[in-house]
Amino acid sequence: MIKPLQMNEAKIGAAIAIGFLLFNAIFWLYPFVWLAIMAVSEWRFFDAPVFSGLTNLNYVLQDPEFWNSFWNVVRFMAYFIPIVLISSLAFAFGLQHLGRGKVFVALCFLLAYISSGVAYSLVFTKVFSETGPINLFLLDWLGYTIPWLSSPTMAMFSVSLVITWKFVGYFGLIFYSGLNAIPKEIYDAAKLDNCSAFTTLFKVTLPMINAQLIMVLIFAITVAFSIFTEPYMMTGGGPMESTNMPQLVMYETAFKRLQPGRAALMAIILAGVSYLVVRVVRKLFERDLEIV
Amino acid sequence: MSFLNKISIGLKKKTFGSWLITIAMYTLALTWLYPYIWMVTASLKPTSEIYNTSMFSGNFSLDNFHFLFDSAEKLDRPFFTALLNSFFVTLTVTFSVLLTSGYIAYAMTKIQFKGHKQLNNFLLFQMVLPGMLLTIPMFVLIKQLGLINSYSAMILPSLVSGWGVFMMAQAFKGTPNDYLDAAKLDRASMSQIIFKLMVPLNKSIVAIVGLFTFTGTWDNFMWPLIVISDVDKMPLSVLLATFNKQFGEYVGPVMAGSVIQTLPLIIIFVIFRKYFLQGMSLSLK
Amino acid sequence: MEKIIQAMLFTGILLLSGCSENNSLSDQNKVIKLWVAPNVTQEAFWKIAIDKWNKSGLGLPVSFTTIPATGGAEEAILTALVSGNAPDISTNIFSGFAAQLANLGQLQELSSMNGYSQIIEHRKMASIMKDWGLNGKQYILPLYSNPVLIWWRSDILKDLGFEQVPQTYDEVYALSKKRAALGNKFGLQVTAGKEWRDRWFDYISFYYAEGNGLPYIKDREAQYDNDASLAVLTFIKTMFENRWTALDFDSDDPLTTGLVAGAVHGPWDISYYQKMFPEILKKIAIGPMIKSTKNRPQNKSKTSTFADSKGLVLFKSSQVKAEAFAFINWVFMNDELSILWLDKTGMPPARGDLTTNKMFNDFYSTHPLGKAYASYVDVAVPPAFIEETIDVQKVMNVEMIGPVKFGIKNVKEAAKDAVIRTNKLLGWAK
Repeated sequence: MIKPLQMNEAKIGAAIAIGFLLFNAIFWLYPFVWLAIMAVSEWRFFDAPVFSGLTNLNYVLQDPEFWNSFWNVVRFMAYFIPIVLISSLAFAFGLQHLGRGKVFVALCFLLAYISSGVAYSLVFTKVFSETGPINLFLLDWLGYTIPWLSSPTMAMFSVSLVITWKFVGYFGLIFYSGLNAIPKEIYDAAKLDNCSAFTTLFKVTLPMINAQLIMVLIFAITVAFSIFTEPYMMTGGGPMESTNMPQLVMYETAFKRLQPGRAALMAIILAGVSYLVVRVVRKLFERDLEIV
Repeated sequence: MSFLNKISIGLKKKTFGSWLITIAMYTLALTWLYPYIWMVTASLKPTSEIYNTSMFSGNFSLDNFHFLFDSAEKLDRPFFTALLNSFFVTLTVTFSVLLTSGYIAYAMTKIQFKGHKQLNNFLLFQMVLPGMLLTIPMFVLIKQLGLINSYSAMILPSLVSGWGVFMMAQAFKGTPNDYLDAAKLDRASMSQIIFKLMVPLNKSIVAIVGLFTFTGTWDNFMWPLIVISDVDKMPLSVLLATFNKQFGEYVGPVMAGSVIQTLPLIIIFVIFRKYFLQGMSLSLK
Repeated sequence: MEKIIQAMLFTGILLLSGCSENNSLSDQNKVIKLWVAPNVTQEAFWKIAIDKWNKSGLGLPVSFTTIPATGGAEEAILTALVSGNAPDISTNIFSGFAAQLANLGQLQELSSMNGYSQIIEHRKMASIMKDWGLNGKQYILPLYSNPVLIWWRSDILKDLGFEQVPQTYDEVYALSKKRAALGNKFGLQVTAGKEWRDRWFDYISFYYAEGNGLPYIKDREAQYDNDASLAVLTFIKTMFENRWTALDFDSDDPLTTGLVAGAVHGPWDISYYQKMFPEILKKIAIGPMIKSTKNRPQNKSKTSTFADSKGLVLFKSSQVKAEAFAFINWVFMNDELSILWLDKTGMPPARGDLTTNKMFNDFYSTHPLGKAYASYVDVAVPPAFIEETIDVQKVMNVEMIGPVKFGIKNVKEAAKDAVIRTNKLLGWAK
């Protein structure tokens, strides 16, 4: 009685799998083939691609704009990673020790995470503008204004503040779930050993949430390599290319300069580098937890 | 004694420290909402007052919203159409992702067939590769299909989501087979098993897949920016961005547009907040 | 189950087929498709002109729509070309974009079309066309040429004791000093904005004024480490160093709020101000571009400036090229339309006889602000005719204007760096 049904099910299962693969053949594999073709072709979207060997590579490797955008990723991470790690941890600790209203507070922070990139980028552009509310406040109380988005030294910092605003709630909750999983006895043991608060934090708490730290770190790195909407909307990559991120360079190379081959190659390099960075981070910081 | 312990002991005693943390957390929570509050109040004021009045003073009215829906049409910015476009694309994609993820995840976890394992490996491989690799060649595909400037360009590539399948498969794996056997004895069809049994049993993961697909599609900017140049087919995110680029000095209407762009996300978030938090901590593992 | 798969396949096919239909249709109904600038005044012109053409029965009917421009007209046109939905003719093409399109092999050479030479002769465009050629061929016909000039608030000038509009850097400094004393008020809006195209309205305009129309790129080689460029950069540096201008003016039009006393504007702003700020327009005095000293070229009385000029192109993909050019020919040969254009848009049509032809004299006798612009058409120089316009102007900003503005580089270094990077850029593309 059950047997024929299972046979039938196996057929349906295979049919679903074939459907899934078919979809991926069109919308995943085929684009990958094109990615490879484009990377070694001279092509401007019209006619047919012409094989050009390493010409694209040669160009991309010498393109100051592209390498500057890599440098910008580094600058972004230098601001974003410490700020977002510390504030998410602080948020998680605060949440842990909050008596009432945990859900309310968590939701307030998460609201930033689900918000629309275009909308909040617009809002922050206005809030940060020369005559915006933050600068008006500073002018009233301290007598000066800060060129949040219009100075090449400040702009990247401001962009990373906005992205921190977005992610603290999400990253904080990841840490929070990690903190909650730490057994109480470990803290008691630390107390018995007369550990200072500092040692407890660095020798007990942080190692215990190593998995969450790595997870957040990898998320943050991925964000750094892939942001597009915020710099596109808030600074357009300026002032002076100081917020020109790789995705912006790729977009312009492909769709404004009509050089899809170069852009495809940039995408490959970018993906490769971000993969390497993630690997290095895991190698350096990931540990197997052993509770002694 | 550790600082943390001090705090936790303090908390129990409701001392100064605990009050401090409570106040700090609530203040921070409200600070996090500040951009939203500023956006809403700015959207209700005439543009000339936005920068000159304090947040809650000024002449509040719905003029900016009227402008957006009535007059912006004349500036070739059909906001109402864009809102409908956004809803159409987002709902279609979300519905399809839920449906396809349900079937595929079920097939992958509860049915034995040839190539089962390879499929699983493929899925993992697919999820590891960064999406940025595909943007440009996907454009080439859409161009070859003759779909530039069409709804299909926004919908077709997202009909199936590897991430959605992965999440649901993770959840379905944990559902005991006994339930299924019972249902099969009752001659339940596969669709019935998936949607009357598996989905309700794994509500919060399904909700997370649905919610993140919804917010992700609603908020998608780069892809529609690339494939849609016809104002009548633009989703709200792109229309708003182009409106700001050309008419950025109309701060009031721009903020009104931002409110409309954000509102559906907030409403969905508030309605499903329970599943959201549950699903979040489940998926945090 | 099967039903669902069937339904999904069906919708998939529907979605797929929904849009590929369009392509086959367009060949059958023979019309000339024209894209015009998304701009109320230009639309008004084309509407009348095309009505006339279609009623006259002189050729294939024309249907026009505005360029579905969002970020910029250029992207919309490129997307249309890439996806095969391009019109037959498009207006609103700037020179660098025409060069890009021509290099992509998308433009029909106009100089080979029947009737081209009559147009050039009739509108006395021979000298204008020199700036628009690519390898000895003409791919674009300029429609209008807008000199950009400086608008000053005469009321503010008068209050500070200036009877005449400033024409030199020193005069701008003097004015700015007095304005700064009032607290958070500025003399002149020096930089026009963050976009690449804004360089047309600041650095390049100033450079043409100072260098008396000297090209900034000659034979694909950047020239802007010369004296004229250094003088302009020193001016920009001085204005920012002393806080005589703000880093950005992104909240309001600073001229209308009185935040600045002067700003660079084109003739298109006349009708815009007339509608939006009629009271302020009455107080506007139009002056020439500024430079280091008055009347440096002894033989010339007028200061050179930048010409914001756009033209019209015919796409190679068009199935009705001859018919489309017949329409172009009709538009350009029709003098009434030149006047109609001027009347609707306020922008000087690209013609060599603006100051000599009687019909234009009649028009300008009743339009004083427009007349100021018309008188500068002959010393207004269009931008360099290169495909890399956008990248070059970005480099100008990144290597030169930005660093000078923020005091990171001295003017010589800045100019040198910009020239090196530009030349590299131009050399690459061959």
